[in-house]
Amino acid sequence: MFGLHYKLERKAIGIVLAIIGVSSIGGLVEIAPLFTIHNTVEKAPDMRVYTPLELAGRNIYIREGCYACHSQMIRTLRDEVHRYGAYSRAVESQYDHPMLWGSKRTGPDLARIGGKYSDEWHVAHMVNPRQVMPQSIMPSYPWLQLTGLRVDDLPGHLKALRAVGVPYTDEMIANAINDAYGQASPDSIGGRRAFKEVRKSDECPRLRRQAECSHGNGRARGLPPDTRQAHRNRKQDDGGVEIMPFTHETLVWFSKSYGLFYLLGLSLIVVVYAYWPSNKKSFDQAAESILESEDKPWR
Amino acid sequence: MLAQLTKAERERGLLISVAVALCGLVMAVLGRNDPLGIHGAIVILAGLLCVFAIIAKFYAPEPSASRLENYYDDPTKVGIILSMAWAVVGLFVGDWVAWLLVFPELTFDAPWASFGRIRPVHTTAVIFGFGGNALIATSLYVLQRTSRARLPDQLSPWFVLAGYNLFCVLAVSGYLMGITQSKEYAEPEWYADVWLVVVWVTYFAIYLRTLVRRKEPHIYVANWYYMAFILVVAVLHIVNNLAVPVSIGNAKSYSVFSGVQDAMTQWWYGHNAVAFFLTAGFLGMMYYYLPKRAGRPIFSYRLSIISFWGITFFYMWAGSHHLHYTALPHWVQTLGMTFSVMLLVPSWASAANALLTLNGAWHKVRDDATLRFMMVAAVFYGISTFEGSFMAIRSVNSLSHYTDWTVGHVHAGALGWVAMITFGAIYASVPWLWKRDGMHSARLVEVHFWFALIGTIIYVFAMWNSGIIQGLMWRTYSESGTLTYSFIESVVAMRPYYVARAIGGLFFLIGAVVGCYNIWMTIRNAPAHAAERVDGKPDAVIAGARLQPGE
Amino acid sequence: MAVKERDSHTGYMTTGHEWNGIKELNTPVPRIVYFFLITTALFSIGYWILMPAWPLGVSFTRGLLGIDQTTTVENALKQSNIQRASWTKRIETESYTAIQADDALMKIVRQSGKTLFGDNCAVCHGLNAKGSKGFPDLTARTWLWGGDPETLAETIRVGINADHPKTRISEMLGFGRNQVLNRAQVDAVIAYLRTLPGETEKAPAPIAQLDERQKLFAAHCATCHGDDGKENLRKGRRT
Repeated sequence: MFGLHYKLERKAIGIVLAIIGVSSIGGLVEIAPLFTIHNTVEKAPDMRVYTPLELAGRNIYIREGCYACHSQMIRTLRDEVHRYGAYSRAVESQYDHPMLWGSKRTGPDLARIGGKYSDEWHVAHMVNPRQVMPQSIMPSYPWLQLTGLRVDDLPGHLKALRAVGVPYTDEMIANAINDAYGQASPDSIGGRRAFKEVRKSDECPRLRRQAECSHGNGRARGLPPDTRQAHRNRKQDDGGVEIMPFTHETLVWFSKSYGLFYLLGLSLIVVVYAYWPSNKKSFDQAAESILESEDKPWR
Repeated sequence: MLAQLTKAERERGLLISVAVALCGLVMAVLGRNDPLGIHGAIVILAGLLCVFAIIAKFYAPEPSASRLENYYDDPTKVGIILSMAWAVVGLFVGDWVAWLLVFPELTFDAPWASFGRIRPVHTTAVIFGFGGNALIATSLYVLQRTSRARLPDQLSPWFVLAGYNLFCVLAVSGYLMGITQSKEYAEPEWYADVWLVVVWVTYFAIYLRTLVRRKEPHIYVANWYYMAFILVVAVLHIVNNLAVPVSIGNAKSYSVFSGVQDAMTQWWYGHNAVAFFLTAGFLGMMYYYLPKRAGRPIFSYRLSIISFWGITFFYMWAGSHHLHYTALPHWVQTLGMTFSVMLLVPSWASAANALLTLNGAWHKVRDDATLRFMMVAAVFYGISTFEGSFMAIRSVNSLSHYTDWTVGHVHAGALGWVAMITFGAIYASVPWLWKRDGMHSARLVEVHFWFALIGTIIYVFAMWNSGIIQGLMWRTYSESGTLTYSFIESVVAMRPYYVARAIGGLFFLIGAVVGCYNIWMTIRNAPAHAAERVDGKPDAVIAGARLQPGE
Repeated sequence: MAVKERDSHTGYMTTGHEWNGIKELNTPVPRIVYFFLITTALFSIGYWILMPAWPLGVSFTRGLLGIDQTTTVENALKQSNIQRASWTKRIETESYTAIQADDALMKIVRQSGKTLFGDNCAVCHGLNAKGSKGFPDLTARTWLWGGDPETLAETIRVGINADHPKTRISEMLGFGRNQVLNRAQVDAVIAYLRTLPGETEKAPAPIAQLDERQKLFAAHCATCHGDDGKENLRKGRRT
């Protein structure tokens, strides 16, 4: 073993290849099967995508680094279930690009916070957490109330998410801005107008994230519940979320798993081939062959 | 310094700088309605700065051919200074963040100063700013000497150094504006990531080209580690940062992975950033500076081989121990845990190899704070790798995860191992690089050592206590079978430990400031007779800075 | 190139290489390293056999013990339900007076209630239940929605302005938010309320202004709170 190594360590390329080979095994074995093993992500047909407004809010959560102190992952431990509620399932974050499971609980887990407290409470708490909870050590976010939300690029956000596999429809993308207004302030003049447009188009791209725990949570206040219900039913009827034997999604996950590693590997091989010392000579020759023939007439 | 570049290199440098500035212009125009525009402006500024720096020396005479007889150390010098500057910034922000948990009002209600935004500033500034610059600087130094070959050209190391620091500046300024991917330790957005790939490939090319030109038949252990660091970090960085931007003019992007696959990829990245950035790279550093300073041969060549390949192989499996009991399938957790346990053996083998190398030089450890920095670093490396394997065991992890214990563990490694070995390496190389007899003040090195050690110990003990108390409070059941403590009670209980932690961090920061002053004075006070006095001194390696004839 | 030499301190030979003055000893790997490598590997192999471990394309090895974290936690939860059943059943079935009469049971109730209160209610009402700014003080014993145990339980169950179908609805409007009243008018109403009997500190106001305030109160508040502000608060009492 040491004799072999004695030879290996004399070759720079040898060491490079060996490092790449040895180090890539672990990741391949652990990550690639997560795309292939069927029950990694549970089936939940009523799992819905984020509405544009929710997505914008999620992006603020990311922007402010909330994930640094709050997890969104209730582990399969008795005390966590007792404190926070049912343990988190993989399917709950299947549309989360990226996931926000978190790694630290300076504050409590937020996976099941949805609908627990009123919107008014959240506003007061964000403006100054210590006003509602004197012992809190969370920073205050008073400026959140004063800064406007950029909505003009929401369709772009939805499109980007669709490119990575979130099933937003063309209609959802087209109505993204109106939907955001409608959900944020259904009672406002702007919101009502926007909402009317949505109604006109007879499409309401709002699916509850999880139907069974969906006694509203202030997210879609003011929306007639029947619209939501009808939409959910339709969604189930034509089985829009079910995966066909070979669809676009299959292709996407294939290219994101095996295709990805294949391309990575291929590019590495190309790089290694290009820099392989014994190839240097022939490459140099090829590069200089034009110059060589310059002092001779063209044949 | 830039006058050392040849005319051709100056021209190429100018071209690259102008190209970078133009890229910045494109970013600024496309992203005018977005924070991306501000980053465009920063890139323009960085490009123009390089343009001016090169133009200032553009018509300087061509450097003499005698430069090729010496190693090219200018980028290393600048890298070390940058590294110390980042250290002070990063440690300062870190301590501020620590105080935020004691006095949450310290944000002054400014968006950029809230915990969630400056915490990544701290992590990026210390890991990538301080650690990364130190790695680049020392790796170029070590690479040339252990290969007995000069760097292949003089421009690409500058490109790597400047480009890498531009990446760090983009990252840190981005967090303050709220630009983040939210992937821990991989927060910078897509354009910064793309830029880092360019820089990193150049860095790898320098390494490979120099190794190919080496005059030593064998590649030294330090270079195996540096190579592993460069290669694996490249793979990790590319895979974990695959994302689709909202548009070319928008800083925001969405990761191609989601949910459970994203979690696994992120912690495969996250854990191996620890493994190959914070461990392999710094082991490379240790394998050069420790035996050099101690004047002792490496304890065992064979042990080096076992630990190197053990670390390279086992570490890549261990990432899933960050996700015990989560929605990640159980089988991945099992693999993560078992490989983490096996990982302890090569880790301890490295630590033992370092400490046993000191056999026969322990009197130097006693007298020389620089060597003591490295010794303590090796000890902390052993402690934190043991702690890491221990915490990777599922049942332990159920207690420690999400608590301050993890934070304490990371800092045992970061302060005790990474920062200590770096300070040791910097204190060793500053006199060598600037051709001085020694540091300006050996006493101040001693002062720094004790500040750093005390700070680390206070910090780590505070976090052990708070983490374990936190974990226990969350899972304590009363006799009737209900939870005893509410979450907020655990928050209240943390306060004294948060105060202690912030004080420990302050100690460490003061030590680093003392170190900066000492380094600055060493550089400034050039003894007139430096060139003649190099021989026969403990730091006489400078003599070795001249290229020796090949075999 | 350096030749192999013997290190005087350890007595081992070097490998014969030298890099910028650094040499390596050819010390054999200590036995203990192999020992621990083998031990940890054996432990891992054993663990893999017993637990779910290796991926096999579209499935994975389940392990001899057939353990999965989800079933483990479900069992733990069932177990703890059984353990608690001795007292939870009594709370579910017995009347509040009976529960309150039993000191042993109340001890459990107080303990577990305190944690539940801390995790769920304290964010508004405070850890000491004194109520943070804008939220009711629960220690004051003046219950807005009724203070007997049954009513309290119902309030907790269905909530106030919550999503529960049977929730209580507080009809108090956000006058300022809906811009029914402007800022000055809201201040005026407050000042008027302070003049009403029952308030400890009275702010006497000029009659002319009082008139104006009374009008505002009559126009906007009296429908719920009565003409003089003394109507029962179950329908709208002020204190």
